[in-house]
Amino acid sequence: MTSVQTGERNAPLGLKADLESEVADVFSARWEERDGNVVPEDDSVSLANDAVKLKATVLYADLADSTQLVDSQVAFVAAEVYKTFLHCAAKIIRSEDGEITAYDGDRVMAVYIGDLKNTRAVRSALKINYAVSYIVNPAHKAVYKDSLYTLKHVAGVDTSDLYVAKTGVRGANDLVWVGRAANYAAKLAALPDSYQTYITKEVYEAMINDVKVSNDGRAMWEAVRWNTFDDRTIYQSNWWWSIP
Amino acid sequence: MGLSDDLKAEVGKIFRSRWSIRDGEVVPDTPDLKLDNDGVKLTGTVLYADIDGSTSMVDTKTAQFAAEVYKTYLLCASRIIRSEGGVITAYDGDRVMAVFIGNAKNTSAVRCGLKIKAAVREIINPGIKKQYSSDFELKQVVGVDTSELLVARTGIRGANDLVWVGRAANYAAKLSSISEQPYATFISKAVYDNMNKETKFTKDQNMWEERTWHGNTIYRSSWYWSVPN
Repeated sequence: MTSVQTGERNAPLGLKADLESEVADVFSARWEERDGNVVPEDDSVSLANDAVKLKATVLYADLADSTQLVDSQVAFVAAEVYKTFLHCAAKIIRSEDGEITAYDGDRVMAVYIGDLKNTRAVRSALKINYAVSYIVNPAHKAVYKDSLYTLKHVAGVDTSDLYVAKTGVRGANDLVWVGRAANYAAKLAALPDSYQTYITKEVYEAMINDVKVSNDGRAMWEAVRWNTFDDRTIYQSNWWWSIP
Repeated sequence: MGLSDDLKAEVGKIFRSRWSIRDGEVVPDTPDLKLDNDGVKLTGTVLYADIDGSTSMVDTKTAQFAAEVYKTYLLCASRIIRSEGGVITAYDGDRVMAVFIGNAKNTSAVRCGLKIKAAVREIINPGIKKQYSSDFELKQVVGVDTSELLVARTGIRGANDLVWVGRAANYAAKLSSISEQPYATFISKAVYDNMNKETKFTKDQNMWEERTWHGNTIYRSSWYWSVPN
């Protein structure tokens, strides 16, 4: 089925040899590791196999169904929706002492470390849910009175050891976050928008009661099987936390 | 002012402000755009290159090994993208987004996809085998689509805070999440129809298979294009 394609080649000579030697260097170089107590910036990790290890909680917040948004809305309205959503998410994350570590089109990744990292990440997710319902959607409707569009989003949160290394792909913002939480949080944020927040059991068990139970004593979370992955127990919620 | 009032003010302003939009001739970078509703419109081809199965790799391999695989993949993908005249516009965990503009944008982006497959096969997987005597094989997928794009700043980070609005940005990302190995390059009909023959046929054989995906015609390929020595 697969075969070599030959033809006009216009990449510079020697690219392959160049990549071979760099790839071999990465695989053979020893790692320098240290434990981190702050979220690393790209200038605090060097390009060789240098890594920072941390215990961290990762949040991904993703615009649900952005493909449909782009199909159905005029580009500049879609851009406004992206901007307002990302703006609110970013400010809420910072207000809970999370660090925005990656940002790609319609989703944002943030890392929380230190005391109450799970509680702060989950509270951020619940506040983002509030901002979408009570700030972004009403403001959109106020300007575009005939619009049928309602912004939907999903946030995912997981916690684990993370291993942070530099990739060298771009000048800035080129860290790679290796660890379960980075992958699971992104996967959870791609779950159906019938619930706005999905978290792993480890996060649920570590977070404080304030974000588990509402003021009037109702459970804000439902345990379910993650049936599109490996059937492990996760928790889902459609509650929000109002922003001061 | 509390956070809530602050967000309401900013959000209201974004929805109310008029846009100033101009046509772009180069792929814009953060300093090229103002924070207000300032936009650049261009016709571009978007490529997403994504590792297939990164969750299971992270679950079953050491963090160091996974980090090395990420690094080598992103290194090869980004160098090949640049060698084909693409600009890396976003980079997030295990995937990279690039934009191609100009006359040969579809052909260059597709050839780039086929070359990334070759790099995995001929450079990265042999590198893993050599260092670790491991049978682990990296798998990846490239998605390519082309459309009009509107580029604006979000203002959420100092650098690299552009938002790319347009079908190609969304579909290329979605195409790169199709897991149907050994097919590693998925392209839209618009890309297929506009790319040049050399990326469609090898001798007389078509390297692409047509199929339907969420109601749209797309093309997939398991071919690769060797990275030049």
